Amino acid sequence: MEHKVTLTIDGKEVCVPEGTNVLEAARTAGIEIPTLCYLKDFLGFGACRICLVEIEGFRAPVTACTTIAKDGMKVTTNSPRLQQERKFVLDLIFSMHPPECGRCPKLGVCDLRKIASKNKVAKSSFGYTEIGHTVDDPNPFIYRDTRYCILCGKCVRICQGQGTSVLAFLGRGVKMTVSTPNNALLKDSGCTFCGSCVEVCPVNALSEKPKIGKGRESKYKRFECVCLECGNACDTIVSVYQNEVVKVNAKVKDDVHGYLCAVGRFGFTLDRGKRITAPMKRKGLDFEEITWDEAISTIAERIKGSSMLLSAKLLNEDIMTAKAFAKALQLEDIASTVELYSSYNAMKSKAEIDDTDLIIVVGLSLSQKKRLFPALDFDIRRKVRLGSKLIVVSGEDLEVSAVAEFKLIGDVRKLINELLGKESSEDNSIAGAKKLYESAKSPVIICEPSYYDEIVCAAGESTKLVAVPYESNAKGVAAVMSDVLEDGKIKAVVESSKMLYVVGEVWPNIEFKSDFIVMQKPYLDAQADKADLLLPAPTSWEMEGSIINLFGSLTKLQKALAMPEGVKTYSEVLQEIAKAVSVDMDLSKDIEAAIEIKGKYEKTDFKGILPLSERKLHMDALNELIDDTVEKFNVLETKSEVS
Amino acid sequence: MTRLTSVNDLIELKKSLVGERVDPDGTKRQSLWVCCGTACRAGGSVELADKLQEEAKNNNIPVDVIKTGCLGMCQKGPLIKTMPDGYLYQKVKTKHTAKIIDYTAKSGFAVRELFYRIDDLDYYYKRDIFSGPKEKIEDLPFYQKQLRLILEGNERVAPENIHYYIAQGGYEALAKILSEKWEPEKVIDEITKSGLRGRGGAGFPTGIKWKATRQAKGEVKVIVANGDEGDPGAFMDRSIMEGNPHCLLEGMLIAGYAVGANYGFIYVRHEYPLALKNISIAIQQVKELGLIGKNILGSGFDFDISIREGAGAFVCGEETALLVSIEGKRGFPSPKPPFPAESGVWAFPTCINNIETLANVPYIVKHGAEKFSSIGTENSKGTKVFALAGKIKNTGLIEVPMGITLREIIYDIGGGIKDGKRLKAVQVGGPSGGCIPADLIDVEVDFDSLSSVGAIMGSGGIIVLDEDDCMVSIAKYFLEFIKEESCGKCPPCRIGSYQMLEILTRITEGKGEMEDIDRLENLAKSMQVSALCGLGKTAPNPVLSTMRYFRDEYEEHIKHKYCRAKSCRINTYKIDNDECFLCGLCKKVCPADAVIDAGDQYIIDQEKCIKCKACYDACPIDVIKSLGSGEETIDKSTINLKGELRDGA
Ligand SMILES: Cc1cc2nc3c(=O)[nH]c(=O)nc-3n(C[C@H](O)[C@H](O)[C@H](O)COP(=O)(O)O)c2cc1C
Ligand code: SF4
Ligand code: SF4
Ligand code: SF4
Ligand code: SF4
Ligand code: SF4
Ligand code: FES
Ligand code: FES
Repeated sequence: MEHKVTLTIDGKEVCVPEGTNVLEAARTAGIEIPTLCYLKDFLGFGACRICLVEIEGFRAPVTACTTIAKDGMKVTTNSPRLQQERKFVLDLIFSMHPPECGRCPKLGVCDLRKIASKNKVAKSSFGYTEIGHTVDDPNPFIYRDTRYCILCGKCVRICQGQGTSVLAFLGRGVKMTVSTPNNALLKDSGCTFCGSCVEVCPVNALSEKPKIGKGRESKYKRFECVCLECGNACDTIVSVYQNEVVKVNAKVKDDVHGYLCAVGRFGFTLDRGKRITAPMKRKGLDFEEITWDEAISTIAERIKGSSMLLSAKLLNEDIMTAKAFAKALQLEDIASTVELYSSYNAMKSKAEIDDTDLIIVVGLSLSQKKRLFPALDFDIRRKVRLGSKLIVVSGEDLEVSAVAEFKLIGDVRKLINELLGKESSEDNSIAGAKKLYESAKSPVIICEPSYYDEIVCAAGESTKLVAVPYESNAKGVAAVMSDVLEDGKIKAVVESSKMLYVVGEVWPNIEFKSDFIVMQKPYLDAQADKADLLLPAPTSWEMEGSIINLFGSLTKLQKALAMPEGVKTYSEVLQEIAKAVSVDMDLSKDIEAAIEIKGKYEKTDFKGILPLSERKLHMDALNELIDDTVEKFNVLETKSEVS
Repeated sequence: MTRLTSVNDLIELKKSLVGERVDPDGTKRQSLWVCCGTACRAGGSVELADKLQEEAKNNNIPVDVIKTGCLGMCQKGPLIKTMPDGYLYQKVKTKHTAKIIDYTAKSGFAVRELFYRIDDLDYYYKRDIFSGPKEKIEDLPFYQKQLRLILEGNERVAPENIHYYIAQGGYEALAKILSEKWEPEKVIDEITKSGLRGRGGAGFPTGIKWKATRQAKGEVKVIVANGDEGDPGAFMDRSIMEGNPHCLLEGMLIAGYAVGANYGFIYVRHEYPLALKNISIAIQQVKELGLIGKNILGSGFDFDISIREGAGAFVCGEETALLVSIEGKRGFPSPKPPFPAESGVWAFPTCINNIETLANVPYIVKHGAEKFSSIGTENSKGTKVFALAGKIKNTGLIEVPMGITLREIIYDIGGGIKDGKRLKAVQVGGPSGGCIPADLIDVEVDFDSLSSVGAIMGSGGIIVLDEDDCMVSIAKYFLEFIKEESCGKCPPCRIGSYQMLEILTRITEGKGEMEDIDRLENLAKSMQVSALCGLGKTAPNPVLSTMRYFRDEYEEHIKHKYCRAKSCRINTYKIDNDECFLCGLCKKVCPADAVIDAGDQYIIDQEKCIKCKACYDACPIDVIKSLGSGEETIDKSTINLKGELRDGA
């Protein structure tokens, strides 16, 4: 049992776990102590002085965010003296913060304004002294304006805490700013444009460039979605303004900001090819739009006995329809892209890292810099910051090893057996890591799918183990239809010469041998070129449904935008084809039942089709696109300056 | 050097040194103690010492030439003390070396031309007419009222040679504890009983701090010696680090033993190259002798010391900032609690003490708490080292018993105010301190008395101010320092000091309003409460104390555009044409061509006048008046011939 302490805050008795700070303790009692610099899950910083409280027996007021709650403390959060000090601090802050909130795009979501209004501070009694400046940082994503910066240091701490360490404080006194080392441009400082810094900035000092000129944030409609671009499947909040996505944010859970990489946060601005809004058929080197009727009947003619490839980025609901479709039409040659990198068995693994005291990463290439499971990298660092230990087992050195207790680099399979199994080793760090593993209360192993079986054999079936997929809903595919699918079937499917129906976006470098390829996807990109018939499809924010994320939990997606005219959902299309060939589909609506992971662990020898080295993320192309956009942005800007 | 493996080894070593290799009193042969502190060094004292050595060698004269740390009277350096005669030579140049060797080293005669003379005729005639030049250190008024428990070492040891320290009882305090097998608690008790309070500024009782660190949970504990010393003009800690580094090391070892620490860091600002060098040498020597490292003197006690070089920011002297700076991070302070004693460097319980605090420790252990606590006042025991500066005849580094009055420091040790001016105030405690007005200089110098008059002991800076110092400008000077040195982390200090300085600047430029006084007061009071660290919390002190004692000066600046010290360029200059004898000097010196020659009189064109005060200074019969704006607004009865407001007006 963890220790608890009891204290009184504004007369209310509160019981919180030992080590909780006064600010959090007050929150559990429903008392909101104002804050500008507090970042949950980080050590209290104590910079903004807004959270000052009085504690009986203390000579002077102290900051709630840095003071640990102790038994019997008597805390006052809102005495006249505290109000006066708060006003004083706000008065000072506003003397160096642009006075015209009315024109600020963040009005309505700005923490500073909110607190100031509560404390009845409109503007500073000292007038306004302009200290900062707009930073000319040519990049397409992040806008910096130090005039607004209140130096709360949240951006610096998040960037350092997540391991990118791009931002730092420079200078002293009123000349202090947040910048990069030597004031270099973001793109030259190792910035990944993850936007974590923008996410936490309480004022208008950091903001997303794409939304500039697109109204005020408080007017945006917000939807809970999921980024489907990589296996990380990050929860997002998509902001829509005048029927357009203007901004994507990480979801905030219990006051903690999640992570999004540049693809998830700014990917919506990228030029990913022309949107397909009507069915198209190949005509020579080009495509020609056709009617839905023509398209459906073309497919219906050939669908019997054809093969089908499902993307593991489809939502559960569409996968269920596909399963019913395949059953009804008795399709045998059906596969999913999961088979490229994993057995279905491994994709049924499930574990949470919330309560773990030891994380072991096995064989997975994590990198924030290269955007390889960057959000997982972030989450692991966060857990370590909160006290968990980390062991990295890998063939190469990983960035995240910097916070690891032990990093074991070498032959991963051998290391698995030495660390988790019975094999012994002379090596000191393996012995140390093993000791740590054996003494851990609830270790969780996070692995590359191909090591899944090996680890279960070495560590036993009761081990908390989760294999991480390369696509966002691989676990949904496994849960919904692994009884229909077969490990490794994909090889036969892509090599067959029958009609191939590719549902959803798939790995770009798959070679198809089929004579007739139908593809259903949203964008007319390089891969679409291989198709003979193209069907439009919704983008991720035009869909509603659910996925199963890498940890094995069900996550819902809201529909943020209406589909453009002419586009139909994956399920709709499948149903129309079934109708055209007059077969009945047995459509169950009960997702929860369908996705319940059944069955016991069975050992398989299947480790995926693609060799390890080729298992880059699905979003490689997007990744490049981001970097390209950053590069090009410079070129454009320099040009416009010259002319 | 052979390693000492027991207390006995240390005693043996000492025996072998005394009188033979180390002869500080010059019983066997003449010795020349050449001050090689930073100031004298800048005056060429190292070359001087080398030359003396060479000269002696060439003439085959047996003499010890010893390079010491700062002897205190830096202003008169380079200094040389000779033993056994105890002569003090001042302002020694290389041209004197031959004579020193020939007279003093060879035959014990004095080089009289190098003796200290009181430059000031006034002082000379009135008080000292028959005594002539001062020959010996103890005859100098500068030294007479001092009590040099710590600085004495600077006169008697060679900082680069551990043998001097050992031969004179160095490391015996440590040996005593180890050989008598004192419980750590006993050491802490002794320090507590001695009444030693931290010399780093706040005067926190050292015994209590040690006890808290001892009782803190944690296997690993750390001792940190704070040698950041960022106060402008302060050099107390520097002189100890440069002149007597082993005393500091011994203090740290005892502290480590007492609190249960095995590691020590000395944090030295990087502007102190000599301190860094001498401490490194000292550490190397104690390492070789086994006085630090594993199993010290066979006692089983392990302790290691290393140096950390500071980046030179004032705020890095603040303990929490210093500790993260040791970790290699930006020197940002952080709120307390947690106190360093609970969670310090890398979250280990850490005892951080000032250099001078630690340098007191060997004395206390060796001579006993009682002896130490017999010096000083009720709540402030022992001595305190000060850097004495300002409008005073003798400036330099002094050490005085707690409880001495400011008057004694200024008039006896300091020799009084320069150039026959009047004392106005004394600034004590640097940027966190306050100004004590002339009529309160009988205040005793101890922690509590100083704070009762609105100053603080601080790290030990004393700046004497005379009638030419404008008190608003003094406050402004310190605020300028704070504004630059504020680390920037919290708005009360970062922006508060900026706004305060804006107001002060406005006032000194004659653009203030009466409301500004309230504004300053409110700003100051709120900063004291809401700033994060000691820097911001104490930054308003110079403003508050000058407002407390010299409020009328603020008001004169605002209401009358009048600076009584005439240092702010706001006064109005007028020629008293009835008295003026038309010498025309004012016209000659005026850089703005504002003095009009009207034939039978000179008139100052107020439009053109830039208020530079040149004419006022030039007038041989003092008939140019320095006035507030609109003479009529000032009560004429308060204006004397020179146009100054009389005291108390
Ligand atoms: C702005 C600021 C600067 C400080 N500078 C120094 C310093 O230069 N040297 C020092 O010993 N203590 C300095 N202190 C005090 C230290 O924080 C700390 O209290 C002291 O080192 C403790 O040692 P003591 O208990 O021996 O006095 C400073 C404090 C503040 C707030
Ligand atoms: S975008 Fe990400 S990497 Fe770049 S500065 Fe912000 S937090 Fe750091
Ligand atoms: S940029 Fe934003 S988050 Fe960063 S310090 Fe300034 S106000 Fe805080
Ligand atoms: S890590 Fe993956 S899922 Fe998360 S935002 Fe980036 S691309 Fe999207
Ligand atoms: S009071 Fe000044 S020096 Fe201290 S933390 Fe605040 S800004 Fe930094
Ligand atoms: S104060 Fe200066 S500028 Fe004015 S009259 Fe005198 S010399 Fe000229
Ligand atoms: S939230 Fe506590 S000081 Fe900023
Ligand atoms: S340096 Fe020589 S007296 Fe100070």
